[in-house]
Amino acid sequence: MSIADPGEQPQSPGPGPNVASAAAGRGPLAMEAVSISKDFRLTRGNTLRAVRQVSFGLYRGAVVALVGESGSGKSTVARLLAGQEPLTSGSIMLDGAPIDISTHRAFRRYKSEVQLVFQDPFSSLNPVHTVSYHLERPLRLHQAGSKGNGQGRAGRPGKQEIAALLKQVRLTPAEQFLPKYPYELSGGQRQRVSFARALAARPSVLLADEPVSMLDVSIRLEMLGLLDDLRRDFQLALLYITHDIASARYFADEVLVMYAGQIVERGPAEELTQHPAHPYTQLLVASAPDPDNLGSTLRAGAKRAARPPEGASQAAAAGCPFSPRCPLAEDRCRQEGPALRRVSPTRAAACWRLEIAAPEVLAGTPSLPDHGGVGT
Amino acid sequence: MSAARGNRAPRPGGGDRLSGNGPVSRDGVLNSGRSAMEPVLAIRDFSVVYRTSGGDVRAVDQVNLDLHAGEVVGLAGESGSGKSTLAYGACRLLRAPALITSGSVRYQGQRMGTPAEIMQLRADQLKRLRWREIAIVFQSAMNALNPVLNVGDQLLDVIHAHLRISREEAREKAASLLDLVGIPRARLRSYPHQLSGGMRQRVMIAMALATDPEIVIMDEPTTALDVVVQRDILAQIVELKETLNFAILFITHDLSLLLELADRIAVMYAGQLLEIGTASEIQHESAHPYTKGLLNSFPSLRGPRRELAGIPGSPPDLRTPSPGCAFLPRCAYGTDDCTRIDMSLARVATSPDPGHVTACPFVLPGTPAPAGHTATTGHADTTGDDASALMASASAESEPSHEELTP
Repeated sequence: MSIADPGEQPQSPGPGPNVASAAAGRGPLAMEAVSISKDFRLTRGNTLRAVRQVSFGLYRGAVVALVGESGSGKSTVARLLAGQEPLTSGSIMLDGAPIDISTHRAFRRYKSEVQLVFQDPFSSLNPVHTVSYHLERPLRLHQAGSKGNGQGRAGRPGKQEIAALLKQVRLTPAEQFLPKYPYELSGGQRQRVSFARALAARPSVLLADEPVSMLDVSIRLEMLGLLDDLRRDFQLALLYITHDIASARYFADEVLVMYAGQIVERGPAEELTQHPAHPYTQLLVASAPDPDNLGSTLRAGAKRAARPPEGASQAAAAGCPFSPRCPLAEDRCRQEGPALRRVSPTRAAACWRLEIAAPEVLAGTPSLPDHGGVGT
Repeated sequence: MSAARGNRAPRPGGGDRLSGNGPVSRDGVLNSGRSAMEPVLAIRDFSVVYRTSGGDVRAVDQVNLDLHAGEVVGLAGESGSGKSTLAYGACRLLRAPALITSGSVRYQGQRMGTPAEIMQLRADQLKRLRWREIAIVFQSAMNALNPVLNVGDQLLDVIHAHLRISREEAREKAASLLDLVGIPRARLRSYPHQLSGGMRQRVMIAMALATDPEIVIMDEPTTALDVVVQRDILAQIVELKETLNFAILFITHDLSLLLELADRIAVMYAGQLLEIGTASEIQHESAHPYTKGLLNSFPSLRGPRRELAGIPGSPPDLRTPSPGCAFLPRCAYGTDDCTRIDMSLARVATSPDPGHVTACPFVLPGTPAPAGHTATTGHADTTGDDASALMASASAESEPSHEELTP
């Protein structure tokens, strides 16, 4: 992230190249971020440019993964999309129209379409309320009004509706869970309640901010599987925010890689993870634990070269934000920020030196290794 | 001890009851010279319970584990499996309601003439042992560092508490410790909040190494960090270990990381060790169903997209242990016999390495999963946390796949 003078010009002009989203094949466009930016004012007139001109679409029934390290701005994107923070510039479209959250009622209407699931199931549920309360409230708030389900505005949602929600997230028998308090539940069960709470509003868009990273490894897969089922059953447009690019490979249709507030690369999950084009994505992929390596790179200290110089975690104020850490950076990279550039009909990367960084990606279609086709 | 656990089921091939004996190099050959050496830390029959009003929670249950000089032993397990309790208990760092109910922990350092039985040390002896001989890198550097003292003062604090050296020497030592972990000396004056997460973790490592300990216990030292920083720090740890030749007990829930880092891996579940083997044995010839399940739980970034199965269900309640194998309710291989086994580790019959041991007497590395439990897609309308939710790779079936994108 850069701390820049407020007067500085934005680096990447325009909303981005004409690249088809790999998620578009799944369903209609539900939500679109058009060149959204968010600046946070810090002290002494400094501005933290947390999100810079980010554009992407979320499609019904598809998963878009937003991958990046902590501080890259990925959670800020989720908060912007959820309407929790005002935009500095850009716009968010929901079903083709710019979103309106100007009034309390409009905001609530928006919230019933767009729901957020938080990372930490231990702090995102209210410890003094039961599971039943957590689900009853959104049902009452969101379903009585605009969506009308036969019940009156003030009608209390029935036990059956709540039980149905619990069944959707596979917390059964529901009667057993309804009177429980969060402390009586395991981490996985709590996160299921969070999912159920989000589903209670019957949203079309679900923003999941690191939904499994606080859970045990043996549970994560099951939870991602559940999320995937919910996506399919409810045709949810899902934004999956994670720092774990390997899970994005398995779970997402399209992957967006974020660095210092910008999207530096985007493309279909399998292609992008197997043939990363941007030097940062390459570093990210190379850093993931690789059991088949059996310590070879660790032992050789091969990755030591990648250590950023002192202070480099603060991205350059000018030029490419990754340039202080990039092994390929040249003068141009330090002076001028690259915009996302189309490298294939479905892929784009923001790098001046793609010819050197990823010649095989530029040269056309890098052949995906044939792995016998399990699951692809 | 084990007599109370019921009859021992017969094991295929038999085997001794040792827990991973002897350092074994990656290719499975015993390291000559080292094999005769005593382990620097020998944990035997070690049990810890937490006394609660609802009954004793058996957090660590009759664990045997050895750590040899210069070795990295990985302790893998989910949260609540007792891995931290085991490590802290071995240093007697637990306090009530934790209670060590049985076991011995013998420490044999090079600086000590005779082995020390940690469970019997007096308070002043313990004080000399801790940090000087066995140091710990705690999980959360943000919380473990003092926010109102600068890094230099915190390092000096450790040095003065455990080493008898002059002020000048201590200053120089503090600065050289920062050199060791690749932080500029000027940072001695920095406060924790002025450092990045990775630098804070490096400071923690520098503090642990201040007294040149023989054993460093690392409790999830990189869990809160980004992958790029994590890798960098791990490379640093390996490098330091090679130079200073301390042994590492590396605690983590991330088995994929251990496969790359550790010489040997001990897999812990519900307070018990289920399998010990070299990293290669754990990866390629894992014997215990839980290990197999764990290996199939994390998506890999490289290689073919595998069908991932995960492990259905959730860990057991340790207050009411069921007889036999604790993993039985989640196990694909489970049979009635499993309720009658004791959980002692025995050599994997098919393995040439006597150090590869497993608690499961029935399943061998090659044993195929029984029918009905193989990974299938499609979620039947199963219910509850026990639902065997199997995640096919990114909803493979019946929807447009990624191939369409290559023209």
